[in-house]
Amino acid sequence: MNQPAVAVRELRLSYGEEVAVKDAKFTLPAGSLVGVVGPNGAGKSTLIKAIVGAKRPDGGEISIFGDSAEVGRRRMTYVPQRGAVDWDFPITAEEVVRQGRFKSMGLLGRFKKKERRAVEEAMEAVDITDLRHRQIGALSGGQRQRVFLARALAQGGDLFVLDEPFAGVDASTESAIMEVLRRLRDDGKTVLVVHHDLVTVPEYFDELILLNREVVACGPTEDVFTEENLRATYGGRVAIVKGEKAGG
Amino acid sequence: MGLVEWVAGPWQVGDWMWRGMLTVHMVAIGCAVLGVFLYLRRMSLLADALAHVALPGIAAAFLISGSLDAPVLLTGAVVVGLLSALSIETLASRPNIRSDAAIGIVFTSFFAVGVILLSTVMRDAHIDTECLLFGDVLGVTDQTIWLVVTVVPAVLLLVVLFYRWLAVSSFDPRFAAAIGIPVTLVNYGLMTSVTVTVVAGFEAVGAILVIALIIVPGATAHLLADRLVVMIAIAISHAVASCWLGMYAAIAFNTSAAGAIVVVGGILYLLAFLFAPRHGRLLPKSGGKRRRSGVGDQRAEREGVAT
Repeated sequence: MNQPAVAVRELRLSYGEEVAVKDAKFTLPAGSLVGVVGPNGAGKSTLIKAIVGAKRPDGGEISIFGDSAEVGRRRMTYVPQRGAVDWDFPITAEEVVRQGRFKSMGLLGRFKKKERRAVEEAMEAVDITDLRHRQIGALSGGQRQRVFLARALAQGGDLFVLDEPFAGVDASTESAIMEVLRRLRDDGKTVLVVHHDLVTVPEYFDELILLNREVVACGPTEDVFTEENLRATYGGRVAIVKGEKAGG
Repeated sequence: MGLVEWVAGPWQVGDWMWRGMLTVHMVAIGCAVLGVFLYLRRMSLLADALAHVALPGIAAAFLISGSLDAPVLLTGAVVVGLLSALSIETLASRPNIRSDAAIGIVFTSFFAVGVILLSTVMRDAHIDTECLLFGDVLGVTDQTIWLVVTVVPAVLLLVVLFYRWLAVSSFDPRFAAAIGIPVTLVNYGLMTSVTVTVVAGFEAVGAILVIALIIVPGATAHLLADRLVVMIAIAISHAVASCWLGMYAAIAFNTSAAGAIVVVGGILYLLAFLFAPRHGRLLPKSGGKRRRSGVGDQRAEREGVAT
């Protein structure tokens, strides 16, 4: 617990001339459920890509569990945004989940008892066992997201990074996913989630990163999730969200 | 004349039938398997490009080495093929250049260079352009037979060995990279395999028709399959059925074998298009079209909530 799960210093990310994230600095305590929140175009996904190694930083440093990012990433499991795959691909839900074992099995390893059990448990955890033989395109948005979460669970790891897992997902799936993420946290895993719904932030996350091209605030949610910080992150639009919250 | 005699007849007169059948089966099966992956990666057009680009590759290899041996020409085709694939990717990765245009620009330019080489410095070389473009199934040389019976099983073996990498990186490249699969290497490995197979198939079916052998079986199989292994099996079946029906059609109508094989393949695609259980346009079963229509999606969504 003493070693932070992720520590980022002076991180700078850009696409050509355009700077997406500048001078980002934060540390995520291991064993916590962390949200990354900010307006559209704030660089949330870019930051996540840098952490998982899909985007090369233009400067700064990322360390994972005290190691260099390259080494630390071996303990990390990434759930990309759902839009990235072709839903017409001939693959069943179970086959997607089985992919989670490929990293540890290697290119030619056979599915043994241990692998099969990990796949079964992962499917049970997100309640998709009875959908296993369905082609993924025949699943609803929420079911698809559960399949990809199950793949991550089958893969295992100490740090789970999820990019917008609740986008286009029904309410029952959202609470099911949250339950799984909390269970992971309770097992000592670190969970990093890109999120866009401010209303649920205090309920969902222990730690919070407010991002708008730079880190506006970072720390325990109750300290960070203040009106002042939100206004600094979102500008005027935050008033609407607050109003909704008060109304509900 | 009975049916049995008619079917057995061509095999008993000389050896052209088994030579042609062996070659065309090898080429068609190799193309079908690779074509499945190209189709799923939305790279079918790249097969077209690689087939055309092989021409300047072969020409360049001949110019440099002065040899018309298959391994030399094959190497030339692969080198130029990879060069063109690299150029296409470099161009397409620019935000202001569309990938379809990039493919079109690169392969037509390369192909044109090949045409110039063939019509000028290589005018005296014995390269039969018509054969290169349209093939000659019934007149394959020993060299071609040896080439396809070595190349195609080797390519299929590679597909089997690297199946997991190919499948995952075709489905979800970002996840593949995240679990340590060398996605770029897999990509170029696939392109190399396609080039080698295409060039090996030139003499039998020609550069133009080999494209059909790559694209059509995969496209047909995708209409019918829910799983990748099933899709590959269907693509292979499509290839084999096209070879047999096409070959006999060619004999019956005394026409080009390669042409007949591709036409049969196209007809089989049409049948799948019309009658496929899920995607079929004529016989939609209950729950058909689910994967393509928004209404079905919403229904699935409701089912999901209900469970």
